[in-house]
Amino acid sequence: MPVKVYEAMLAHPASVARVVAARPAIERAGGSVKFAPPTASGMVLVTLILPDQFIPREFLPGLPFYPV
Amino acid sequence: MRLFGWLRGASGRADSGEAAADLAVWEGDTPFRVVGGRRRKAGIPYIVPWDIEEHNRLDFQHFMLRYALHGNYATPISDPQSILDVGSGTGRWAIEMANHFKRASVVGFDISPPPVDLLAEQGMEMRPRNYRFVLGNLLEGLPFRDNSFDFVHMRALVTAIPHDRWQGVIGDLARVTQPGGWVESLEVTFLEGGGPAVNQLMVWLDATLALRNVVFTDGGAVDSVMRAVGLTQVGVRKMPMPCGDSGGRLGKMLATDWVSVLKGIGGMTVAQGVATAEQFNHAIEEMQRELTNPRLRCVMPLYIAFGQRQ
Repeated sequence: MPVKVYEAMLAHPASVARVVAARPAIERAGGSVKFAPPTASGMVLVTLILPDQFIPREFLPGLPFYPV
Repeated sequence: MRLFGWLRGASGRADSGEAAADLAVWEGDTPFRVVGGRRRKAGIPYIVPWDIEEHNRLDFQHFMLRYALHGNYATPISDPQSILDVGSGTGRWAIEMANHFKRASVVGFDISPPPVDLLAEQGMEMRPRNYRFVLGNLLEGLPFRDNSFDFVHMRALVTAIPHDRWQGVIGDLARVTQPGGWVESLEVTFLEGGGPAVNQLMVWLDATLALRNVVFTDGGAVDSVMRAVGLTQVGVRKMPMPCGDSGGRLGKMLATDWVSVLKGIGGMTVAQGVATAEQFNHAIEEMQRELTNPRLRCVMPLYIAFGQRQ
């Protein structure tokens, strides 16, 4: 299945919580989510792997995900 | 697929989404992506590298702009008490402002700490007492309360802000500005009046940025966005900065800066299939030749927009 990879460096815990909440829907759509360990300052690199027909804002509108 | 084409080209090992997701390179606890041999901050749309070569370019750009503009700001401020620099980069502007306005509290904000903060962690403290750095992602919103600053400055972030995020970003700058305080933006757009190689490189730059929904000409429309978010007394200065030998010292400085920027993003342009490495390198060589032509009148429009919060 063709996929695309997106990522976002998130600073707000609320943003990370939104990704956690959206994870089941992303996985049901055939995608996946990866969380890197938080940096010392608390930022988290989040990687989304989505089937080609989806884009991040369908699951996480407003969060700054961009193609790697 | 184009995306994986360049990932394979960049790493030689990405053949699935999972592999691609693992390509971030960690330095300390900061993730980077390495494309075309240059390291770039991971997780943001900004395509310009973040390495020592780029730090040197940013500092060079800072001194060039200060020389061209005869100062560090255009807004009619006199005695600011609290200053925010959004996208502070190497921290040069914020630290100079802290040294200049010694009674002001100056905050630099960016997605990764400036070199001067990293040096301080190693015991080499060179920061003024009235300066501090705050880490965050501008595209998630500024982590400051409403009305926190009386001068908010943002410079050369046009390649970091997607087209559909400008109003939110400028609105956020206005939100953290105190009533009566000022917001200032300095941005650039495409080189104009160049030769064929300069023009080709501008086309490729446009195409590379478009893949992240970044529109380079947005830098020339910030005054409109300022009005849209409710700032008043909005003004804009458009300055055509000369680029190339015909522009004297400043023109040569700007040509050096542009060549460095374009070389920096060249890896992305090639990796994304916009141009081949051979085409890109040839165009850079031709551009350098064109910019030494004394008859060429190449300029870079520079836009300084400022507005006041009511």
